Amino acid sequence: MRRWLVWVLLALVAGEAGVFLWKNGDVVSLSRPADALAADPRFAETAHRVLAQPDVTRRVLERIADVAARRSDSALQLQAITRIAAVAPGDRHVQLRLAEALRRHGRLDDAAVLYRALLTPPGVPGAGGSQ
Amino acid sequence: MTALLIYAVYLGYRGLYTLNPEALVFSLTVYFAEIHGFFSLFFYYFQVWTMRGRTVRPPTSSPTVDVFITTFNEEVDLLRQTVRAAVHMRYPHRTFVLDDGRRAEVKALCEELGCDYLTRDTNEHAKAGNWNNAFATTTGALIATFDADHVPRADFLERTLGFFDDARVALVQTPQRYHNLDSLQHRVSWRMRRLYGEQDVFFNLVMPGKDHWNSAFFCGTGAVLRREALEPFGGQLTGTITEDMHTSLALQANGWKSVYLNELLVTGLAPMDFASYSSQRLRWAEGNLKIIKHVNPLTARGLTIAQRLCYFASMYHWTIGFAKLVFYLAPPLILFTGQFPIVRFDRQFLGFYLAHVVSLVVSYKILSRGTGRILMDELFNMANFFTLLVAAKRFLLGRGESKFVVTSKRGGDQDDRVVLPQYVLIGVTLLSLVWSLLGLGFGVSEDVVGASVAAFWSFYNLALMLAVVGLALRPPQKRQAVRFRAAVPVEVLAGGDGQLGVTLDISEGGCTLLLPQPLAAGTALRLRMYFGAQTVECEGTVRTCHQGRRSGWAASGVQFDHADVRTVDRLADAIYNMTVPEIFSHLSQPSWAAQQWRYLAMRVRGGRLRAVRHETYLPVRVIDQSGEFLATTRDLSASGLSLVAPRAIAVGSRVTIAMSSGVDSWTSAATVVRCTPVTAPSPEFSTCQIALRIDAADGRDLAVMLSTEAA
Repeated sequence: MRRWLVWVLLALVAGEAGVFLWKNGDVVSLSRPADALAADPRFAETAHRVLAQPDVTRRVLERIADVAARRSDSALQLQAITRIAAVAPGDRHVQLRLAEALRRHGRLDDAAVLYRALLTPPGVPGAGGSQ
Repeated sequence: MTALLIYAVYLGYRGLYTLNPEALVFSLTVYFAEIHGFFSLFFYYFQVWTMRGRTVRPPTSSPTVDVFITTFNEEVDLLRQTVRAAVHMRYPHRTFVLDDGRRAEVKALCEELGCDYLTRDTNEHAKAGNWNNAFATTTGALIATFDADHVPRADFLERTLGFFDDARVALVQTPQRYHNLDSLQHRVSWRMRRLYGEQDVFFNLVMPGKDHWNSAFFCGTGAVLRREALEPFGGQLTGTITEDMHTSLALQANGWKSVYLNELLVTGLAPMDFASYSSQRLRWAEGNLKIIKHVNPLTARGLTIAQRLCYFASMYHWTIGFAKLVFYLAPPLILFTGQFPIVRFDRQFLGFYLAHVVSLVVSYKILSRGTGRILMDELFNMANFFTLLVAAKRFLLGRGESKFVVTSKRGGDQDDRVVLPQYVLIGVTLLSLVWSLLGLGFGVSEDVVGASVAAFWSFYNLALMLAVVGLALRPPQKRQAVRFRAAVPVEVLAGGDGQLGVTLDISEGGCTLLLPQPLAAGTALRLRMYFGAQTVECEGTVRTCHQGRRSGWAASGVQFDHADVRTVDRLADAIYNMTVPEIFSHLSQPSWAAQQWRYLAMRVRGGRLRAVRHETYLPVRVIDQSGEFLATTRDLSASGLSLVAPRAIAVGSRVTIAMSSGVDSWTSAATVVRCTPVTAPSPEFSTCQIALRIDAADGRDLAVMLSTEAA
């Protein structure tokens, strides 16, 4: 392989990494360790920008929810778990986490509805997990 | 048929259930590329389904024959051997050199070799115009035509003229084989005895298949044409840059027949470098596509349906560039965008897809009859896709038409620009892989399965791209003459202490000589080389010498110092009459793997065990009742050997053989157990393959020799 070609490719990859960072900078910044994110004063702002995007992967949403819980930011945690529940509607564990988040956020009535639905065996009308 | 049916069902399923509405343009583009592939496969299978083999019959009449050799700017040395070979063809004929270069040295060559020199004031219509100029001034009933680098065998006319007994046969085409097996379009495994030539599928399968449908066409060289059939056109048609196929189409529309004789009767030179190769392919592609503007095979009068399909297939083949580009760009596009050309990648799709791919591969292997190799075909598709796109663009837009350019057969310098499209593809593919990895790594995307599928195809394409770049950037060939792999026994008459050696390769300009003792660089030699019963003596100088680490033999690079052009001619005669046929014969023998399999099968069946044979090329002196001669071994075992000898020896005769290694010599009595004549195009170069059983050695086992020599 020509040396100049390798250099050109490396330069292109570097440029590409720059474009990737520019386009997905907020998501990339959320990949730092959870402790570092919890201590970052700009975390909430970054997380809100990410949550405003239409396509966010579950991995990133989980990270936001996790760090928000550490920061006791129940509103942000609820927002993140609500998005997770939307991308994984059949996941009963996520529903339980959503109920917990609602309770922690003070929306007890909504949490109770969800708890009841989760306690109802599947197949019974009103059972949770598939809403 | 089953493969085509499965392909059709797959396409139906794809069209009905798998198109992705979220990426409709992308999805449809890939789908149409797949449809293009279906028609390619259909045309290919249609043509190769039944192949016609021809039986040569001697001509019953004695038609007059003119031989045309077209030239423009090829080296005179190259032209010289073609003209000599043409002049020496046995059937009575007149040879004309058609020189569009108007060169005095070519005229002098013609006077020296006793053939006619024809030229003209202009170069109008390039090669076809040159040919037509000669056509107008000559009278032979049949015209054999060769390019300047295509060397015919002495029996070329004898083998082809018999077909003209049928008064409706207008042309007989023979395959274009190339003797520079180190060219860009060849891959050779000497050990496995496998030769891949990019055009093998065409000349071994497609042309015999076309011949079945009476649609084999003139390929520009290595053919004989009937004057009467060409007279209405004044020779060859000149509207396109592929006048050969254009003329054939017109001939067959007029009711003439064509014949394809798949026999090695002429060998030429294939392009050595990527630029020349691409330039040739561009001319073929552009010319073939543009024929349709002059004569559309689908609508032209006088053709049968099969002929229409065969000719259209030959044109359609050159449109593959579009489909290939789609398949090369689809994986990067998936990796960049996350969009798929199929709506979902599930088990059902996988089932259809696998059934389609497996049936395609199996049917291709069956119908290719051992000639087609999918990976190599894909490699050359990768090499050609951009050239074909350029040709298609010129065809569709009618701009930037190229002129007929003589394909250079000498290797040029490395030039990265010729593989710029492949470089761009490599860049795009690598960037897409990196983009996908970044996305997966940082959680921007999480479609691991989709990315893996696209990455698999990306790596497959990347391997092809890198192979093409490697092919294009091979070290340039600096030798003036082609080196042929040949084991010719050599006696060093002066400068090397009378050693007996054997060549590893040879050309008109030099050889690599294997000798028991090393020679110093700069040593002047006088050599006698034994080509069957013929000997060639020449002077030479050792340029390099390498001592074999295991065998004890030294390989010397020898440059011949020819004082006389006749020596060059004698060497060329020997090479084209003996070495070249032997190379092609060697590469058509059962492969090494097949031989090992047979040996294993014989052992399992409990058959008579033969000692393992080692392919070894050593000089051997043979003494029988008639005298003594030099030969070269072809293989050795502990109990016998076979060798190529200049004359026959009766089976059962006792002989004495003497061989020497770098450190020792070995003699033995032996009995001839088999003697098979090996005919050459010129009888003086015919030889015999002799198998010997060792009776009584001089106390040492030949196997001991093998342990050193075979290495």
